[in-house]
Amino acid sequence: MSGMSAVKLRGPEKTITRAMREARIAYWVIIPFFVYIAIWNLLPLLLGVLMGFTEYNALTMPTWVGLRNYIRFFTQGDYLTLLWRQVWIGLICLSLNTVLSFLIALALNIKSRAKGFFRTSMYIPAIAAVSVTSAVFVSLLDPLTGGANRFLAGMGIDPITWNHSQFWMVFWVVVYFIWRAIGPATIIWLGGLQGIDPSLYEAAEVDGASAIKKVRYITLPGLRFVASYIILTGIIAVMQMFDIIMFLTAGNPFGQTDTLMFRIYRYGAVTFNLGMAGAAGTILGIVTLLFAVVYFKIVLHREAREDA
Amino acid sequence: MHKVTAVGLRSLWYIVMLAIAFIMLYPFIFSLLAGLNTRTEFGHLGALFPVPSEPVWSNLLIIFTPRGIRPVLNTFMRTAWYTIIVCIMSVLMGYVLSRYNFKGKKFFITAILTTQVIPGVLTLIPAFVMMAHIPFVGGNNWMGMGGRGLINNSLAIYLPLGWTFLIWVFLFMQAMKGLPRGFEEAAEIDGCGFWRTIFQVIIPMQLPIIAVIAVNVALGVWNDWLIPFMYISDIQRSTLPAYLGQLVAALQRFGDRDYPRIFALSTVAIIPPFIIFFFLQRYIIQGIASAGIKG
Amino acid sequence: MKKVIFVAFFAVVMMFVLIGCGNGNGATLTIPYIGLTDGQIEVATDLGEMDMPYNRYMYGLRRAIEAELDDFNIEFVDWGWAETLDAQQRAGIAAGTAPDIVVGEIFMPTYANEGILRPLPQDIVDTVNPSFLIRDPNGVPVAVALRASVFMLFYNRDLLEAAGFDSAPRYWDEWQTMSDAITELGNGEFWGGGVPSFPHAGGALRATPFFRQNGTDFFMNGQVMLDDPRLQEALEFIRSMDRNLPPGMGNAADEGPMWNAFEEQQVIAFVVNGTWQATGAERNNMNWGVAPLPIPRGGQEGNCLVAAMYVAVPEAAANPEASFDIIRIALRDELSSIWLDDTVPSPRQDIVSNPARWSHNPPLAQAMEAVAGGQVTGLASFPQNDAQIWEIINTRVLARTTITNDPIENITAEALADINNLLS
Repeated sequence: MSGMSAVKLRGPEKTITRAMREARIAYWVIIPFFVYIAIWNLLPLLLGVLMGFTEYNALTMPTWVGLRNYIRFFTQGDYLTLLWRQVWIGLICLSLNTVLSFLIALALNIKSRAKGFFRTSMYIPAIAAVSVTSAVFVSLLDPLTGGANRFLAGMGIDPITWNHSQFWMVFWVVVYFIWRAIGPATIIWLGGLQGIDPSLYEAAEVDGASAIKKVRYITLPGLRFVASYIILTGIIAVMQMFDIIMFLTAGNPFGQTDTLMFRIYRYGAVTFNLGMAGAAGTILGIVTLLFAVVYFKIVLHREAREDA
Repeated sequence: MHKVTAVGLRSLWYIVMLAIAFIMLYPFIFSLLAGLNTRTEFGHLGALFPVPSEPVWSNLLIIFTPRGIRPVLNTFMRTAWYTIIVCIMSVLMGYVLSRYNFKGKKFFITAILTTQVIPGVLTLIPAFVMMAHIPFVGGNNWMGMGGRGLINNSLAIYLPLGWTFLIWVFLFMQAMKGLPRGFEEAAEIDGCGFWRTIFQVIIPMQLPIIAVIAVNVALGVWNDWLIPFMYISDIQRSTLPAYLGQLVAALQRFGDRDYPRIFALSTVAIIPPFIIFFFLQRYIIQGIASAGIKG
Repeated sequence: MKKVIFVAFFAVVMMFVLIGCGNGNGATLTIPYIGLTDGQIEVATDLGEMDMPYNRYMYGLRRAIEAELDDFNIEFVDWGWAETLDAQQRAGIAAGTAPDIVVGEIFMPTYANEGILRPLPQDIVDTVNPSFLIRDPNGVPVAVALRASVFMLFYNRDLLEAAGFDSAPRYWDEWQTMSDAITELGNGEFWGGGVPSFPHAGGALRATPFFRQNGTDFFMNGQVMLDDPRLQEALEFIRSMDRNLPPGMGNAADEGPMWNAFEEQQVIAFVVNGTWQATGAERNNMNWGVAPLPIPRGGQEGNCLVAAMYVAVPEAAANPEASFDIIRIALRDELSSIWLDDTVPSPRQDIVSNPARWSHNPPLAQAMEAVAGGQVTGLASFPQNDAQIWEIINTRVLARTTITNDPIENITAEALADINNLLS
């Protein structure tokens, strides 16, 4: 259709300028995609905020309840505990993943024929869906028949009843998260490392700088942008993590690993408390954005100061 | 002396890296082995390496029965569909946004970047509710507007287009910066319109970046278990990773467990991403790295 | 090379698009189906598994449905059991794509109360014993159980004899003494066994009889009874019995290891399970016995309906007559009597009222009398937010009781506060 109009535009109507023609094509291309994407994303976004003001169980009509859900979120039940748990489990996942992937990227940033194999193996967990690899962890962590405890018993260590302990369940959630997320982070770090001008290191070598100093004064500043990318996308990812929780612990032991996002999912798609799901979702979304903005401001502020 | 430490460091590096590589690959080995056990044997083994005394291939063969193959086909179709759509979208929008000047261009680019930081949590449940009421007329009554809903409808895994895909538009825009305008100008002089320029100049010149986009989108969509998991409960209309999601979530619940079946299905679900990964690895790595550096 | 990849890719896409368009038309019946999947049936090599009564019933039912309703396109969907099944069915009903039959156990009373089920035709109601029906708030029968059972205490005679006991316990304290003694004798090799507290309905179902023996329940007369001292006493008992299970067995999400430990490895002396356990014990050639559940001194008999496979036709079903036909097929004598082989009562009135068909099997006879007598009911159901409240009870009351040493009063008080929020 655009092709036809392009032919027509090319014809006698000389009054149509090149800019106008380009604009017309551009709108024809962009606006359908934008409208379609808005239907599937912007509309639910607004719907979610609206839903937060209703009581709705998917079987009967929603009723408007004003701010009640939001008030309940802050005054009743365990929503604040769940929010806090989402934050701290997420922080552990994100910070350990960022540090470990950086160390591995440093280790891989050398010349070796085996490097390709190691890089590939780092990345493989990320190419399988969460739902595809979770059962391995669930089965290994069975307190009685699981491989992990059989292994410990073989080593002469007392078996650990994983599902009785919040610590161990969080531990495995973190391990699983890092196992999946470390590969992409390592590759991004590696990309950043390879983007640093090698002449800087050579100059430092001439000046007799130690390895630690080189990391501190050349590597880290050169990776500032990559780091903020890893952390920003990481914040958004961990603040809405519920799949790993759902598959590995389902909130057990006795709700000690339940997180806000997992609760939102259950309210939304399992127990149909949709009003509260909308309100809690909106709050979690705003908190996530706040974290991202605060992090961004800190980074920008520090950069501005360092540049000055 | 210096040489000895260097050799020692090198071997230490190898040992540590091999250990990490082993940890990374271990769950896949486990999954492959466990899928070949019988239920009884798996229940008793409880080993780190559940080597079956006699491999039960029928666990894997379930996939190749007429109804077993359906979720696999659905996953293939869904992957292909989104790969094509996103590639078209990235090429067209990326080209227009990087080459043409028009009012609102800044707005569109800002919008594309802004959507990348909006948390998906905000839309997960409302999108589910919306899905249940599309097209808002006729059928069941929601806010007086009605609609039959697309829950459990095959369309539910093909229609939604998340705005996370817009990152590939941005990547294509970045790639366009590296392409001299001379080629298009030459094509224009030859009388090429918009579409011919796209097909005869842009796509052939930008094949590497299109491959990066296609491979990464394909991998992402194949592994996207959440959307089919949310919208479709009927396995015959769902995808394999989503079906596995149902089975694995049920491991935490009341009822019987069939671990070998889950592991056999997992093994099948990993094979296509593995094939893509091993043959097109550099495109994937490039996609991840460039998203990180340019994004 | 690149061209080849793209051409191949395009060809693959076209192939799938063509396959995708080849869907048949005609009325479709959607039926949640609990049993072997098609694939498993088609490639079944393990005929032992196909021979189990449960699989024989489900397979026979399925073949009969396919043969007799041949003008319909029948979709058997695997939606799991319990919470998963509930969520899938509700999603379907909410979206206007309700399945033609809803199946379930603990959530079926909730469906009945919400009035989303069609009344059963009179001939179905007449076929079955009234104890197998669920009625809506107006007393109209809307759901029927294809089978139902009760809990009993199964024990391993060899282990009891090893510890010097020759008969089953009748009271809680006797059971505690015996179980403690066996655990001590076993010294990590075998255990006495206790009351499971699985963090899902499997735990609540097995704990309920012990509350009822003490004259209480989770929910009675519109009141959540968690602050009832009799309920707390039963929780204390469950906690002290849990010491006689290997750590993590009584409150893991997976029940399988417990039943395996009882019937295959034979390292647990007592289990609380439905009557079908008799078939499992027999299959493993164990020296087993069965007794009614022990009761507290001064307590009463108490039990809970378990494994009740309720079926009902939702209001939204597109072909209600065909759906009722399926229920009629499922209740036929030749199918329904398969349950007797699994030591599980059948709902057919002519089987229930004919002791010749089940009196040879003592656990079955006891279950039959208990169920048909009508004094045993299923798990309590709450007027609203049922699923969320059960989640609290399963994980934060029952599992927490056996996982932690927190005072029972604190556990129940915290849960009670949350439950009352959900009920208000």
